[in-house]
Amino acid sequence: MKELRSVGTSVRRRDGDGHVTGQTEFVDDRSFPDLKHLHVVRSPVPHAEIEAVDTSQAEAVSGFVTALTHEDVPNNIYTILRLIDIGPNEEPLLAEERVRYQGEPIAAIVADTKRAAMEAASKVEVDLTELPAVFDVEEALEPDAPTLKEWGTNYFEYEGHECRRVRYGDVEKGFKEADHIIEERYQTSPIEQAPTETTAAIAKPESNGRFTVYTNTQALYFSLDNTAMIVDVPFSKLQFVGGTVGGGFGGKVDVIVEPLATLAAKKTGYPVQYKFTREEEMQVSSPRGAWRMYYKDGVTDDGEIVARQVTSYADAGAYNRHTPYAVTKHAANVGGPYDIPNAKFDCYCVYTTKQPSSAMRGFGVTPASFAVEGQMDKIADELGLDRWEVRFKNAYQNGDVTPHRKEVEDATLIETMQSAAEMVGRDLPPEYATMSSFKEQDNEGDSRV
Amino acid sequence: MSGKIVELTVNGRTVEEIVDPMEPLQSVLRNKLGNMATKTGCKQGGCGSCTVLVDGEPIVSCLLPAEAAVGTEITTLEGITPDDGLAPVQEAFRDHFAMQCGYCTPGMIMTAEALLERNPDPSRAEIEDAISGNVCRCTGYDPIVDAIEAASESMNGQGDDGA
Amino acid sequence: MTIEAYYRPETLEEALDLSAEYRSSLDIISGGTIAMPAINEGKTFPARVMDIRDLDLDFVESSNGERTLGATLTLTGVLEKIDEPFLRDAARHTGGWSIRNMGTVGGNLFSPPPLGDFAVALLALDAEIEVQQRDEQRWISLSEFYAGPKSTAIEADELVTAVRLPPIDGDTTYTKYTRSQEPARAIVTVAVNLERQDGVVETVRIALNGAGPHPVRMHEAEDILEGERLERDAIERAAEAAAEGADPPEDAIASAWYRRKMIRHHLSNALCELRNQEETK
Repeated sequence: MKELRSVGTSVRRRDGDGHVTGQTEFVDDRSFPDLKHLHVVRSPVPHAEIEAVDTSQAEAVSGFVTALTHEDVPNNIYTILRLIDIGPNEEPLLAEERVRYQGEPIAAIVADTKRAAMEAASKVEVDLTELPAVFDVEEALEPDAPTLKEWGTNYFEYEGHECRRVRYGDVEKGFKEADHIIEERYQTSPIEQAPTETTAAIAKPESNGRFTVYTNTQALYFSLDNTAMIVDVPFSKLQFVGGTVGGGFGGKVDVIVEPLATLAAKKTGYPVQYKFTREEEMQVSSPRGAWRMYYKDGVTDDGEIVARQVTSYADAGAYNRHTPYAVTKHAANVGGPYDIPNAKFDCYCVYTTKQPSSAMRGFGVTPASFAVEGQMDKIADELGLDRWEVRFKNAYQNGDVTPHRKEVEDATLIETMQSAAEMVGRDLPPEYATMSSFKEQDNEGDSRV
Repeated sequence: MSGKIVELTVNGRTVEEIVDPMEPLQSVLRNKLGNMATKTGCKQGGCGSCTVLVDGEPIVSCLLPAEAAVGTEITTLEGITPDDGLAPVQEAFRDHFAMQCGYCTPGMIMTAEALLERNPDPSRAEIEDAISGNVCRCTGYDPIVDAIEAASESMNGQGDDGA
Repeated sequence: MTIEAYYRPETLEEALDLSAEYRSSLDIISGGTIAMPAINEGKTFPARVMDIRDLDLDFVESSNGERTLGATLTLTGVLEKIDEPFLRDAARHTGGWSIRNMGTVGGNLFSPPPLGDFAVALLALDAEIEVQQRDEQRWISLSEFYAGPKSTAIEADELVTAVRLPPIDGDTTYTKYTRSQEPARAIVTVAVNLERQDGVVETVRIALNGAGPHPVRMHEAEDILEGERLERDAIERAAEAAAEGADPPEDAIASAWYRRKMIRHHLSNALCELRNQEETK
């Protein structure tokens, strides 16, 4: 019988030989006769009315093939997560009357070479009237802030509420019962995923009326479906070829290059490549968003959290991308892996005149973890308790219910901390060294008592 | 646009090619000669993914006009890959998992190759210094440094055996 | 338009003729590490480019302690041909290996801030620049060369052909401070050349990168130090004056506010380092 066990052994990568010989085929390693190149004309300012777009100078550039504006896009306004019923549509593929962030696409140029496309793009004249910009999430929620959305606010609406809300127990009662109230403000910065290979797609018209789209997307079917909807062709008319991604880290989850490349291929009949320059990758691809989180915890003298209130603001930038979803995940995680009996969480998805933010490793969970663990340290320090102890004391166990009503089934915090303590040579008191995520293993019922 | 026929020596073969004025060597290698191992991470000289050797010296081919490479020996990753199997550096990269997405790998290997040619027994600090212009965003640099160390050991080992 | 013409003259005469003919409509490159990124990114669309790498200007000449470096000497060339530690230090901190193989001494003078980490060392050494046009050759000091933001003191038909360094007297120190491991853009780079007589500062040249639109000398800080011993009070006053007198660029690497703080900190460190060194006669 063949030995199939591979755990504990080193198994060679299937793609290892391709990588070390450079023969792994990335998107733009494909070449096609008559391949055309697309380059985008972008807004130079964060917020403005578009008065006019004039492509006549661009057309004179040698190698120019065509220009695309919003008028060429069958279904211009979209939002990526409409595929899982998140809406409404709010982002234009190419801007219409207004631009809402610096770098927002206004027009696209297709030309024989990337250089010709760039030069033609530099000659498109865009007449803009600047509008006031807003770069701070809390300022964006002020009544006098410039309004970015058609629906008249600067926040995403969750089932009729201005934020994603979590209510559990009675947080006010919890605060009254607490011996201490511990508050802090946490802020994270945007982070660019900076993949070594920039975002790219090549769309190629086929003789049977279909389009083959080679892409380095991290979300192949999200990209296919959204592209079909934007370009207004049946899903069956598109074949997406992906799989080889030169680094993504969440930065290639959005649907950005495929619709324009496909539209350009459809309009011109040529295969069209749209690949971000490095500067585009850094400046207009969506980064991990910035988050601001206000924590207020009610804590007993011995460090038990009896109530937690969190108000947090995700900076979505100008458009949804994946932020509404990230906020929902965030709301489920601001309590942390701790047992919180009374909770009130208000988590806002806020629009500002900045490049849209989106996914990066953790989708709103990472900033929550940063704030939660900062808060656990603060509780310990303010109460003069040991930081490990405060965490063991509040750690959730299987059977506990989190504030968003999820019964914990896979708790591992206690065991993880025990391992970590061992690795750093930290002796834990017996009550924590023998603690378990499984309450029922403990004869006395609750191992924390 | 006025293309010009130039003679380039790539991986020991001399070829004639029409190049545009100031066209980067990177573009000629990829789009005209089909050497796709030379990657295009930034075209700014910042990532090292397009590193090739010109007369044995690592350079970023996105910043070198192809015409300026006339009369030199250009080596790409294709040029160091044996017809059969892998070069020691390539083997070491594979076996030490010194890559994840693979996009920086060709440039990284070319720099490693140039380093080991000059310094067959580099310290870890010397390796780190040599590859400091090659950006990896996935794996972290430790397995890459491990691989180059291992390649140096295996190459020296082979040298000793032969002597 | 795509680039109409790419000239690669082989003699200085030819190059100067082209310069005279096309003047400011001719872009000049030597290593390509400044011009090519801008062209590749679609920021500039030059019609004519002259590449001077074949002019045999990659020499180093020494006589009586004076060194002359050809304009197209690469930073790797500096490391291969010069054993003076201060210049080697500066060359080592100007880009990674492949960039050092391409970037040149002359080109580095034209680097936009906060690049120019070799030039800042040249400024601390009071370098002179050889400038040539068809009928004339002249030397100007590097301080004069930097005429202002994005402008230099050379005419459209002139070429920088060499850099001349006087004998290096006294002590030197070079520090490049970056956000991440090098190669990386500088937050600040500090280059100091200082001569002492029995512990008293006779002359000092402080050049900083990340303190203005190009590498700049900090004359006020120099004046404070001259005639003084390198003691805490004088060092602090000099560092303070440099921080106050600086006009740091603001970019993705650092804010002007932060650069100012770091100028004070790193200049003060550099001067302390010199204080702790034995005086070189």
